[in-house]
Amino acid sequence: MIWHIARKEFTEITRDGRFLWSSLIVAALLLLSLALGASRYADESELRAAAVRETRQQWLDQGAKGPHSAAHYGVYAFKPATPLALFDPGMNDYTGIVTMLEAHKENQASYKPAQDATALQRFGDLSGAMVLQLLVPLLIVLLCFGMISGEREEGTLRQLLSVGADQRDLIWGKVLAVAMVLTLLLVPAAVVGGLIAATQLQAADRHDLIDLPAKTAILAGAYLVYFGIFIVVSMSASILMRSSSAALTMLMAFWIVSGFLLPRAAADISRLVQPTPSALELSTAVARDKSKGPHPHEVNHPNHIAFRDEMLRKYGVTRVEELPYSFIGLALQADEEHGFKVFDKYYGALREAHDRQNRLQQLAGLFSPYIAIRSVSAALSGTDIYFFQDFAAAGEAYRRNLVRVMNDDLMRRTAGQSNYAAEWQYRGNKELWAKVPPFDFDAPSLGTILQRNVTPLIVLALWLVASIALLRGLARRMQVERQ
Amino acid sequence: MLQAINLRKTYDGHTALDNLNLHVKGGEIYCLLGANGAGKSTTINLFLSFLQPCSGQALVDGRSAQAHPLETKRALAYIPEIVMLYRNLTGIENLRYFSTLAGHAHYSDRELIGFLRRAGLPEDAPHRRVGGYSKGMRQKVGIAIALAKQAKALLLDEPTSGLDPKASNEFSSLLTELSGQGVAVLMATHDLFRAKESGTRAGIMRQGRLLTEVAMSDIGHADLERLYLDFMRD
Repeated sequence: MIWHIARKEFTEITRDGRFLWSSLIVAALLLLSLALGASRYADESELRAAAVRETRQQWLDQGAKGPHSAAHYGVYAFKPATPLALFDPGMNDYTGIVTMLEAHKENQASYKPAQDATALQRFGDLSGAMVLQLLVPLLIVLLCFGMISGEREEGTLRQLLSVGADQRDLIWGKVLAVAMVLTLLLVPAAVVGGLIAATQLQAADRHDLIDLPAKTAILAGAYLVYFGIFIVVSMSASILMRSSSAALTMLMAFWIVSGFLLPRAAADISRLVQPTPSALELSTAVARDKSKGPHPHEVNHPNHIAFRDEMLRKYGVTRVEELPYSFIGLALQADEEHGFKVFDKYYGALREAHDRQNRLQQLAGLFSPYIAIRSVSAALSGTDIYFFQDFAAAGEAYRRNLVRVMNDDLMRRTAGQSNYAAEWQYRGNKELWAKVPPFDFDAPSLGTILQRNVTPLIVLALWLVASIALLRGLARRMQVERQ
Repeated sequence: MLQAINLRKTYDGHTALDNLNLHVKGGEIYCLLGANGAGKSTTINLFLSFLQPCSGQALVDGRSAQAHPLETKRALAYIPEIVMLYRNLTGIENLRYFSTLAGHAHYSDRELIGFLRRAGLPEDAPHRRVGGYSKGMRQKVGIAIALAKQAKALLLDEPTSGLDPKASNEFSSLLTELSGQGVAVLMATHDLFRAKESGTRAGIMRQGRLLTEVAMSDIGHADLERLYLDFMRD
């Protein structure tokens, strides 16, 4: 019975020009966004691959120079992207994609397109994820709002129920019909998108492909749940509201609040509740604490003198030239290690604040399925804040190893030399540069991603279960006429 | 076949139906006469279980419409004043859909067209979309739905208002044919002429109460009208 109802509804929908055109527009936008995303992804991965090769080559070919100069010279780390990023660019425009890794400093990533963008552009970025997260729900609302209320107004509901049709079958048949229309619309687009993504696979770094099939499957499942929520909620509104126009008004309000107001409000509220220091405050604090280090290059600085005296005492010698390691090497490494603690303290606190903000925002998904799907989608596509933090942490670990290797070489090879000679006359060579491996980064595994998104995943499931329970109740109690 | 026992329905303190007792047997055409608001449509809605009675019972084929809403509706066919159909579907598609939901998914196109023909739908109409149908044509699809349903009882709510005399006459002879096959018909109508023409019995209602019942064979046209007007007088 449900099947017969679904087939008739499907026929009606496909005969209605309005739905046909809006569906075609959504499908076209989806294909366009996937094509744009793919071309952007292809360009960026090519540029990134070239830049990665180049920065590595420059590091290896920097010629003979002091190891500390080499550490200053540094390398660039480029944030990788999984092929799913072509579908969902997520936070990419906000987090930056290049980090300079060098001595003394934990740099923040740069090249954030959002910095150069106006506030208007927040709305204007067309991506496959945006089409699925905002436009498809709008289409669902337009398909569903009059499904019951319209039949009630037209009088066909009365006619239909008078023949002895089960109203529960009627409602689930309509749900099935909307699902069929969406399938017809989205499956071809998904297949084309999949083919486009497949062309990127050969070129992609296998570190970026970790768990990719499973991630894609879960991503697709999460979107199905998200669409299901909108279908069921829209159908419920169509039963519940007095008229089609009231149902449409209510659903549009839900769409706007869920998709536009709440996400912004949640971001602002999370910043208010869990404030983060400004960039200026942060850099001032970092500089202040960093200056408590041994100041390796300032021989008259009290910290420098204190560190020298400490080293002389420790090794039981009277002159720095008698130390088993060169003093400048020791001082530079000690300064770095002091810096690590400072960075861990301030940037660690910043990361924790961001984490708390993020958890608060994830909770806001209780009121907005959009927030929940946005979080899950960006996480699985490798474009969320956590992926970025993983990348930043990997970059910092790489940087720490790089300066350690350089300082280690310096302090061993220049033992007994004066500070000046050690720093400016000793030269490292390619053999030393090659001791630092190329930077590489593993995309977080599916397990890690799921663990980080327990809240939004549960929220999506709750929305679906609660809305189905609501619709079942409404379907059972529905009256032909509102009494 | 259709039986109302002490049926009572009130809305917000206003009594729409007051202690109605009614029995329509198979083969009878029972006409409910009365002004707007007399309780005719309320009676039909109670048999359809679109309304719940405050007390009493509406029985269809011996079963309570309230306790068995789906089963009793399967035994009924309902034709309202304006038959509402899906405008984007053709006549035959509408008929197939309604028949399928009524539990008759087995009809072939030929059989469905047969029902539409029998209901008097023009030959070229079944494959056109209902959006372009006249009120009379939609009424005929409604009749075809009732025919295809092979119902034991018909509930008709002002079925001929707005039909031209010819269509109205065809409708009456179809009713007579169906009652000849043992179908019970309960028809709410203002049309005393049509009631006298095809009805076997009539009940006159006013303010929710059934005031009197007459057998059509015992009464002439003029007498029916006089009786009706007498009861309508304050």
